[in-house]
Amino acid sequence: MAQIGEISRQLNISVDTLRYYEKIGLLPPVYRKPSGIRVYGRKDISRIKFIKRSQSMGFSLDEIKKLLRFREAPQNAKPEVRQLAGTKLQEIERHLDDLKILQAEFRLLINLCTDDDENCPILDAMDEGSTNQKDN
Amino acid sequence: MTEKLKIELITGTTCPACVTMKARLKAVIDEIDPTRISYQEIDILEDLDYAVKLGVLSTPAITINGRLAFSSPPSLKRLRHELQQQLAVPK
Repeated sequence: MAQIGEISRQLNISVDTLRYYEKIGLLPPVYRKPSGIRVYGRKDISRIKFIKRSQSMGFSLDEIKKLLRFREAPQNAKPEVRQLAGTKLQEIERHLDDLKILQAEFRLLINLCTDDDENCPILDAMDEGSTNQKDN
Repeated sequence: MTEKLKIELITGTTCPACVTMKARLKAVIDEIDPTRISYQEIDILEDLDYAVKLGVLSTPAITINGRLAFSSPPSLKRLRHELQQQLAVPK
């Protein structure tokens, strides 16, 4: 259990955004102390992390709202929500494939530069590229 | 006519081990049978996508028939053994 300020720091989300998520129904009403201070439970934190991850994948808040309902009760999901989840899964898989290629590419480039920083082939290639661009 | 064994040496522009590997590879090819082997050098930065697809992590690397066979420089003995073995396998 944690208060809004702590959640904000932990998850790097502003306090206003946390309140907004609750206001638009992305989060169910968060438990409040008698003093009115919001206290977030594990389930709330899990939902906020899901929202954050989905947003970083470019999903809209409306899509996230539907996916959150699906997350709560996958067995009761309507066909269109199942379809949305399927489409999003495909997007994630494509994104993962791209990330894996990028990871391998950076790993290789770093290896090529590790041994000899003074004669780094990547920097050489970049220099050549910029020279060619100037020439053209 | 049997297909040639396709060898590619993936090199870097500033890679002393690539120079050694190139000489070693050419010597082994000449020794075994240059008429049955096609040899090509690829600058890694010229075809980075291909290198990544193969799983190359450093240079020099050697492919045989489009498959990464050596991801680090092999000894003369290992290289000779691998090429002889590949040539012996019927396609």
